[in-house]
Amino acid sequence: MHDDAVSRRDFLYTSGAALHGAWIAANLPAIRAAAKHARAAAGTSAPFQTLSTAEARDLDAIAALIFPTDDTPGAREAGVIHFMDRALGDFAAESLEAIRAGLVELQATVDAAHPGAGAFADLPLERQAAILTELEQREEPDFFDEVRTLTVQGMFALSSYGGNQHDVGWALLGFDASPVFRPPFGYYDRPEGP
Amino acid sequence: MSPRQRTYSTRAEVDFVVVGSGAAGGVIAKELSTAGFDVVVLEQGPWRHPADYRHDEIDDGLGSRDPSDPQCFRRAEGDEPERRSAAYYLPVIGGTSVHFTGNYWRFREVDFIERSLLGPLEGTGFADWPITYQDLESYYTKVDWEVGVSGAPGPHDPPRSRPYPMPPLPVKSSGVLLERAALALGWHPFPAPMAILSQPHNGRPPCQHCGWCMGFGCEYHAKSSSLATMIPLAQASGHCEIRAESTVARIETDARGRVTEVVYFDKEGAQHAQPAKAVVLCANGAETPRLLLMSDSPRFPRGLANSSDCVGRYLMGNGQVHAYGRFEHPLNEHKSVQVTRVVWDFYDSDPSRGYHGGGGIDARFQFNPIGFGLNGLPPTAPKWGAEYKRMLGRYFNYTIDVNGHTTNIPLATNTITLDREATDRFGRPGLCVTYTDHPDDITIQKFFLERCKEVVAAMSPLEQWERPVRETRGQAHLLGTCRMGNDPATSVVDRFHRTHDVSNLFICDGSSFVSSGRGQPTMTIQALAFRAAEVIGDFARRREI
Repeated sequence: MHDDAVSRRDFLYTSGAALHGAWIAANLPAIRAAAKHARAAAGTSAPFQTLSTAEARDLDAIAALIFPTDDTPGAREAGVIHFMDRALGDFAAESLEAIRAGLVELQATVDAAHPGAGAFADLPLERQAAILTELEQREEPDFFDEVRTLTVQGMFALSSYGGNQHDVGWALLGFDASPVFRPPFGYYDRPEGP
Repeated sequence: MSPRQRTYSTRAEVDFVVVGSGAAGGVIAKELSTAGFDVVVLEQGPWRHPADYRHDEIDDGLGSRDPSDPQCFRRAEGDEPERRSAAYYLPVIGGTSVHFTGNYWRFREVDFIERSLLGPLEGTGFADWPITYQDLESYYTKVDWEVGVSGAPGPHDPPRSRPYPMPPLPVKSSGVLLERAALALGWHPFPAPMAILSQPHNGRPPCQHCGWCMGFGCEYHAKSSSLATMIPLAQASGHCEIRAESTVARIETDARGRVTEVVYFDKEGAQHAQPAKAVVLCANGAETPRLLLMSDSPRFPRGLANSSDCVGRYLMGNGQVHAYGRFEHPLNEHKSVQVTRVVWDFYDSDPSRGYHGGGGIDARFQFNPIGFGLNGLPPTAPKWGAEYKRMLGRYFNYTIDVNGHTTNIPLATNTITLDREATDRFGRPGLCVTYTDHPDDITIQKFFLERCKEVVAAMSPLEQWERPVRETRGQAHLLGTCRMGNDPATSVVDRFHRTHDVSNLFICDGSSFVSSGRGQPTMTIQALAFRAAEVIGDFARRREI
């Protein structure tokens, strides 16, 4: 893999408080405003404020490939595209230009491979998946990394940011957000022993 | 807004200006002010309060380093620097202790005298400290009781003069698994010493096990940050003003070479100067040397207190390696504190291995939901699609991360320097981290990765994997850059934290370290700070400053 070129966010999310702080430092100067904005705008029916409808359709299609809807809710049920729309207009605004350029290039890829097929979002799922695989396997998969990062954030961030609606992302993980908890924590520390 | 506190005028000289309010600065300010000295603490960061904290990976409510304050990283002098953060810390009142994990290992005797025990390491700054564990023991005990540390004695503990003030935090599944497996291997696991309360202590409540320690503020004040412990006592003394959002740019000296005042910018960018009889720098192992280098003058052409040319050199952190296991039954590791059991069986350097280094092992999880979604699965797992999604649910509550924490050898070429090609919004030069791992530091990490893999295997996981050892590309433990020593030619501060060159300038923070310890420096930073405050107070009372 591209160890040195690992996307900054992936690297920073990997391990540790310090790295987390650095990610915030590097990326989120306007973060408080963002949180307020996201809370105010939460809800699935809000119109897109940053993305065009066409951009939102393609990003939504990618997010739904990353977290498909099957026996449990996926990116669509979580409202990931609404998280993305708000994030890219706010605390992730520095990524917007790259995302837009990536979407234009994506359309060119679709046009070349499947002339007249329309947008990425119009392709059959298996063709979408083949293109996403190609994007992931590039030497510098910046677009894939950016969209995946936004998708994962939209799946698992606080629902007040517009994604993770009804906490479906947390349910997928089994994440317990309760601020007060009492032991035992897990199977192996039960009083009766593992 | 800051809590009620005494304020001081910049027109009058105070006894001490303390630069930085973190693990060291909080202790120094509390100790000197409660002893009756008039203290002004200059902290670049703002006040944060529990109401600000958020269990939110996108906005933790703590803020960040000023994004306009430039940092860069390079492997060696002469390399083209990467313009990015590389010295990680949190600029708020209370400093990085506000969002730390709270691992509070004491150093052991060996950490102070390793050079004498093992002999020299050619081409390095490997050296003994000018103080010993015995010199610090009573101050470690002060940290236990005044700051608040939970724990129980272990088989490898150095001697202690007083028991822990409270028992260890309740063991988690990771602790049970580590303990069982370590015992099966003939190792000696013991409860992790943590600066997080297991019982009410000094008016603060115990941990509520929310799981948001690492990288987040503790709204319960159960985590023993400087903000929760030392700062309120300093303010209550009636002799301390904590001056927030005050970014120090320069320490001024007079014709005799004595410090006279500290020049700083307020958040609006207006320049001020606080006169003081003496100054204590506690700005961390990156910002303290930066400040000294910025305070150069005709009398101190290489930077203040830098006749040794050691300011900014010998930067150390700690290595950290990761071996993971996934288990059949739920662990729910995302709740409660990070660490409940540790292993020190490989603490000492073993010359028979042919390289230098030692460390400790613990078991934790270390992921919140977004971080796990991005990087929590084994490297072979898909990054998207139905299988990726299914695996997240089968791994999140079933995975542990066994960590090895290791030594760094001090090298004169690993440095904090000024980046003259970049300035922050106050016109201060940027900070450059130059770092290349000593080969032994990589080798000891590989050794520890093998031990971590071995103990994970002994837990009988369903599967296990690891993160390969990588070269260091940034530091959170900022150590060694104004090292302590008896010889003014090879160190910056003496054994009492007084700079060799300037009699009324003191330094106490991670920069004072001579060796890196085994992975958890904050306990020792605070023990040093309690000791430094006592001796500095004695000097002041005897008019020896």
